[in-house]
Amino acid sequence: MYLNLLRFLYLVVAAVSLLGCNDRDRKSQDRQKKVAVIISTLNNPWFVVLAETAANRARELGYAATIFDSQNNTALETDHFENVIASGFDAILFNPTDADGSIANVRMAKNADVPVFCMDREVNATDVATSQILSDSYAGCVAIGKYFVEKLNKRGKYVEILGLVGDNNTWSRSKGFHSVVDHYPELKMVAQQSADFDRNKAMEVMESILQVHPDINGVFCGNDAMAMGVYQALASSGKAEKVMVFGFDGADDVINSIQQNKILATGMQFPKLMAKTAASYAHEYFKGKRDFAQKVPVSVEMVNQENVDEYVAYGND
Amino acid sequence: MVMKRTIKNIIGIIIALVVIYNSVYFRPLDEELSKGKEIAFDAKSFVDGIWKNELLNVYDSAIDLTTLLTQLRENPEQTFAREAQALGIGNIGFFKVKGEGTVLGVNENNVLVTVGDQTVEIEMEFIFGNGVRDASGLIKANDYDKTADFNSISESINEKIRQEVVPEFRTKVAKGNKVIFKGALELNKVHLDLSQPEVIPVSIQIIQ
Repeated sequence: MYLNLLRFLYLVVAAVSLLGCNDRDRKSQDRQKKVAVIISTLNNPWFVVLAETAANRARELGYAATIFDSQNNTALETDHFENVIASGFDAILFNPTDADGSIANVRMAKNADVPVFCMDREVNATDVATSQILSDSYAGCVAIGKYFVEKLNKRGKYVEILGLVGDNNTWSRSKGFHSVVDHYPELKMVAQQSADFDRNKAMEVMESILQVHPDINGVFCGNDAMAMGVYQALASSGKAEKVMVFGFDGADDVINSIQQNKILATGMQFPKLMAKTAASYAHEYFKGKRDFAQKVPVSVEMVNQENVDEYVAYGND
Repeated sequence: MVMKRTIKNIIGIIIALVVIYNSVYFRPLDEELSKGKEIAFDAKSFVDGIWKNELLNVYDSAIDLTTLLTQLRENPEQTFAREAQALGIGNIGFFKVKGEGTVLGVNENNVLVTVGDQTVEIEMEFIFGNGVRDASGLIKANDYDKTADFNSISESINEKIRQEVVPEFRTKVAKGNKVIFKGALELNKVHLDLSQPEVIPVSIQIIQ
């Protein structure tokens, strides 16, 4: 009798536990999933487009989305990851601050079973992010390099303004450009300096370089914000019409500047396409897909004075 | 006597096992790599290794350029889907092409060839970018941890073309020569420009 009672109680406890589990699962499935959009910096219109498009696409797909600004600071980025994981976000659409420095943050999310989809910038690891959707910066800058050589007629002095030295895109762009330009010995690089992808820093750097090298013929910049800063410095010193400036991004002000013959060319990246793809990948992940390509390159197209009328800023979706 | 031999054999086996055990050491590869002994990717050797038997072989199956251009004019979307190679997403596609034509002119940076009724630019100077690598469809980005290694393959392919394909042809070619060529063609499916296609050659010969 006593044993039968015990068996009955055991059955009741088991049934209640199973019901509880089902209830919890249902609540977890019913809860609106949350997507975090963590961006290296929002102090650049290009990244604002990337962030807002990713968040809006996630919302269109039925998820709650919040944007976090890392302000180009890996420590702040770590804080964002810790907060996002602790707050129960279900996926991260991520634009890393540093190819090496951001790996630990992505790994932290992976260990917490939160998928991370990198946008535009990569991390130097292939086993932490679920997928990395990246501009083919190298190929884009090969095209700009060829145009640069043609426009400068294979000779002259030039300056290169680099982006953040910890970002792979900085070096992919520089290597793509140099894979062409270095074949022309009469094209001499007189200065190569970093301006951290920042417009104001690029202006200051260019002002200093012009003091030492007032006779340059061209400037290749690792992004459009820096190209605008460089153009401002050249305009202030009365050299804007003599020096050819080349950017990379396809940002609004540079597309306008190409139309106005102020800037020669840029590499059109497609931030909206990358952001929407990342959000769609998160959606597919929630539906159960797991076999994502680790790296998904996105083509870059050169926009110059001959074809600028065919393009809109930040490209199509 | 038998007992002694057995003991000798056992001792011999033990000594052999000790010697073998102490002769071989297994260490995790990542531990060795972390000591700064990282194996650098040698793009030149890689390209030398695949050039003849893999890369050029793939280009043997290239589509005839005149046929491709006709198909692109008639139905660009389907032709891109069927014939173009692309690494990821976007508008750029790469095509393996072959053709035969008559040299129209020899310029500083290229040779113009009439193929059918189409003028085609065969690049002699601006041999850069990922066209030949990506049109081949042989080499995938996800096989390389480092994007820089993947890009260095293109640089080595282009260098080989500049050193081994272009010079001999460039010194002999003249207006009116008949030539055959195989190579890579890059096109943008949204901004499609077929007015003067630019081909990076993997092989080009004067036949007459």
